[in-house]
Amino acid sequence: MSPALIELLIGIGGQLYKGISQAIETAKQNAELTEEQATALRAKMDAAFKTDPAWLVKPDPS
Amino acid sequence: MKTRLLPLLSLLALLTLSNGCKSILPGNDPVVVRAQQTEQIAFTTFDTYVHIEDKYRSTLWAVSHDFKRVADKIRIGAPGWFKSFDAVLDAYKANRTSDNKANLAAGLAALEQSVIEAQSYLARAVEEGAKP
Repeated sequence: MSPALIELLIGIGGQLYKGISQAIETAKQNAELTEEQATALRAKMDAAFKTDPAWLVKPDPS
Repeated sequence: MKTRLLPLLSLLALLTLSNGCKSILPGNDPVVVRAQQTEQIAFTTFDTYVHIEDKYRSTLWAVSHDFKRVADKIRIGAPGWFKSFDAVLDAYKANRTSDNKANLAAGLAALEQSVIEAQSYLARAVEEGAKP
């Protein structure tokens, strides 16, 4: 296996761990979000869409 | 590594599709709770996917151009998907009619479909990356 693929797998594992941890916290929710929580969630998503470089569409690799 | 990552993906899929089974505190609408959970898990899944694709673009591009195609579809579509979903969720919360509930269910189904696609490409990234 090439070093690039090993790095890919390790990277995916790290990102997945972070995502799973967040999803598990979400799954524990047993009540409706308050207005403040819902507003904060929408602000967090909007900020990611607009400012997180990973969310920006970039040219295809050559 | 592959055998450790695939169960993680299965867990993420399970969390996406089974969050309607939780016991809901009295006075809370299970429809709203499930919708909010699905929205949060959908965002987490999309965010995870676009970060992986962004960080390992050249490696994934060499495997299949579809990884970037799907990521760009999420990048372009997700803001609108969530805006539409929030609109039907807000409409249901303001007026809990059967029509608004049906609209919310349709919104949930559409969001879950996009999540399943992202999860399938995450699984494919693991599969392809683990090939000898």
